[in-house]
Amino acid sequence: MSRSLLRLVPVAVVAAAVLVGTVAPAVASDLGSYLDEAEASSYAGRQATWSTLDGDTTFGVVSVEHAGSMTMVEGASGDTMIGAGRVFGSSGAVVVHGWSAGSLSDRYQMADPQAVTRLGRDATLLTIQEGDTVRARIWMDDATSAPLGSEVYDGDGSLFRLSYMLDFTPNPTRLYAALRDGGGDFDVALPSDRSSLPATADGYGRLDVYTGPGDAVQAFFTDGLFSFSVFEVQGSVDTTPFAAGSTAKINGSSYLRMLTPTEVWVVWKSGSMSYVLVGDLPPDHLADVLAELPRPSEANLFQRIWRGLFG
Amino acid sequence: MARVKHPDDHCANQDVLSAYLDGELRPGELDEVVAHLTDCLDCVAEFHRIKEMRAALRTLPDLELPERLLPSAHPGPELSALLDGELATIEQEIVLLHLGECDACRSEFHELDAARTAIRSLPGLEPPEFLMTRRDAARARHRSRWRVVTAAAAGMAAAVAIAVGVFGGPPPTSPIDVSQFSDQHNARASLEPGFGVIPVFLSQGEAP
Repeated sequence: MSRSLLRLVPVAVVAAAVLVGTVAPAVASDLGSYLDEAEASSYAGRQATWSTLDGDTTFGVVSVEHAGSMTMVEGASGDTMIGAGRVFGSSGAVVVHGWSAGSLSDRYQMADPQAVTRLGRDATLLTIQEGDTVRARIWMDDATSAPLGSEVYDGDGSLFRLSYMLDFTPNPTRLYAALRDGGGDFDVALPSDRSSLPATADGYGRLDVYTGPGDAVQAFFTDGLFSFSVFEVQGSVDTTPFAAGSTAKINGSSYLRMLTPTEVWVVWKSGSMSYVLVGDLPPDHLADVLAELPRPSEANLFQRIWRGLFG
Repeated sequence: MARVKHPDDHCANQDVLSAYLDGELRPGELDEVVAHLTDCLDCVAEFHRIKEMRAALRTLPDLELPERLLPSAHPGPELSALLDGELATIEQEIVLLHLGECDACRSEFHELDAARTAIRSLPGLEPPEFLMTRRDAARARHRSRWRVVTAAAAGMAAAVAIAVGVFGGPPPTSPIDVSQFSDQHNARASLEPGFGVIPVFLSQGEAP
């Protein structure tokens, strides 16, 4: 891809966002349609998100403005614009180049939508089943198709993540100027064929592989509802940013795991490679996915000697 | 990854507007920016956004980062955990890397190790030899010799382990800023229809 063409992409996408953001929602007949319409909706408001995992709980509030496929997130540490394959923020910007279309996994079924009221607005409650388990519930605003809230459940039926709008403004007017990026350099994640990870993991398809920061390689997986990326790094990674995390035993192996309100991070080393997983998948999916990825290395000879001698 | 300049070259970017707010522009540059701001609504909006952001930042309380989270912080309790083999592989490498660079911590580590070894080598509750039978005395001498051999082997193994772990050095830690992983994941995930419904985004800097 030529440098000049790369320069044109953001402008085209912002223009597309403006156009798409004004399209009136159609009647959705299945979950995929609801998700597509939500992406095309236009709204603003404060969004609270709460997650819990093995006793760890995190909570965060951000201001969100969404139009078309672009979302502006205003948090305590600055503004970030996300959408259409790009993230622009105060500390940097990245654009992924090229992507493969995925589809919603057939392991999800949607129960009959229910008419409810949320934030004083007419809404539709969608219940997404995975077999006999409720996997997620989503409240959609009838007038705009915007998501007013969502719940994600672990495989045992416990609540894993709760997100809801504290206030809601449909079709805000100040979006489009704010969606313009302030300028500066951005990194481009180019397609790569260097991933050693499997093509599927627990029903998640590896849709794309990109070059990452440094020598890292990003493999992106999704099942159409949740997604995660695994970054493969030669050698070790600096785990200082994961100081808030803790060691978790998953499938009998030890991983460094950290929970943020909207993401779960898992770091481990296998052989000469380090792996960093980041995504929004629920805990039981995470365990099943990790079972299909390279396992953490066992203790080396000297560590075993040391433990044998000193316990 | 390729690094690319932003396409809006004709517009004043954030750096220029920041320099303007800081009074760091030269006279020629200042005139250009002022002229541009009079007829570019986007840049005026951007200018006000930066200004508001700065004002908001000034009102934030100072947060003290816990010392243990500082990259240069000394491991402390982790040294004991290292001796106990309780650190995760990656944590262990971080501590070993620090030990390779910090004389104070290396000294503390050796003292801690020596103290533990001394405690383990304290005499047990075996009776004096003159109170034993001849066979018991022979067994005790054998155990004593075995303990010496074991201690020597342990000392050698520990020395080798420290030499390999500390001075041989674990592979160097990658200088990658993992917060970029979150951005790159979210950039790709934003192409998925489920992304905006099940929120997976937070402001930069709130991820690791």
